[in-house]
Amino acid sequence: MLVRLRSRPPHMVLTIAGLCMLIVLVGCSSSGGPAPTSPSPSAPSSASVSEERIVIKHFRFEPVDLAVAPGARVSVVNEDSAPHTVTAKAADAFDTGTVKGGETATFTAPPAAGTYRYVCSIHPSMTGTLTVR
Amino acid sequence: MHHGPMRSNSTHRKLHAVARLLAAAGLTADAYLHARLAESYDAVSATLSQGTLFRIEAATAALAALLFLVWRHPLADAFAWTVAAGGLAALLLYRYVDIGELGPLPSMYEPAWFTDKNLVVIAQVLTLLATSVLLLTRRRRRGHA
Repeated sequence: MLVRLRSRPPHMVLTIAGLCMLIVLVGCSSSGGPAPTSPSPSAPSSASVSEERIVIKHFRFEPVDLAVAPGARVSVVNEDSAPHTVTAKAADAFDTGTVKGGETATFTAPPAAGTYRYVCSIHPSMTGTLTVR
Repeated sequence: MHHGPMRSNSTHRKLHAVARLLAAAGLTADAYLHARLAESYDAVSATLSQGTLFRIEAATAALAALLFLVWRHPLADAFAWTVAAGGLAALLLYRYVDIGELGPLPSMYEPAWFTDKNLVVIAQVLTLLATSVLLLTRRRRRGHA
């Protein structure tokens, strides 16, 4: 079947169509850069750093495994646009509550030594471990 | 003085022009937002990742926008309506129902609203309304022998 184009406003239509495609391509290219699969340089991964930090980016906790001192303050930076949580699987161990996109929350590590698994309660496929020692 | 039909035609044309512009804007926003969010959602994965599904939605919405503007045919309008309706249905389903993994699809349950998701809903509803207006108020063109 032949597609018949209406002759009325071809320039306007093609201009708008071109703009639409351009906007979509810009959207693709802005997310199509090299995927930062390695931990962010701003996210310390060692327990020796005094201010502990977990960065959430692209639905991953960075670092996935973090070691901290008992009672340490841990900040959680959400660099996604989606909201996330850092919620211990062990009841009442720690929970940031909902951290909106672009926001930061803090929680206090448990006083008892041990390994605490945690999840994002909104996206349960996101998991991490906090080791207190 | 018989201005009635002329005014009616003019109003009809304006209504369709506005509806077409709004639907094109909605489809473009839908495509842009899904393309931008895709990389983040690559981590939500089974056989297919949610990021891949977002890219498919973005490509389909972009194609619908292009067809919609270039090929002024009810089929193009219907395709745009279907893309918006399908995307909105999936979004609402996974917002409220935890259906887990389904065949090659990952578990995409996300019980939260946030800015980008709100914008996607607005874009898809806008597209649905505008394409519905186009489809429901379409007049048959009179053929010339």
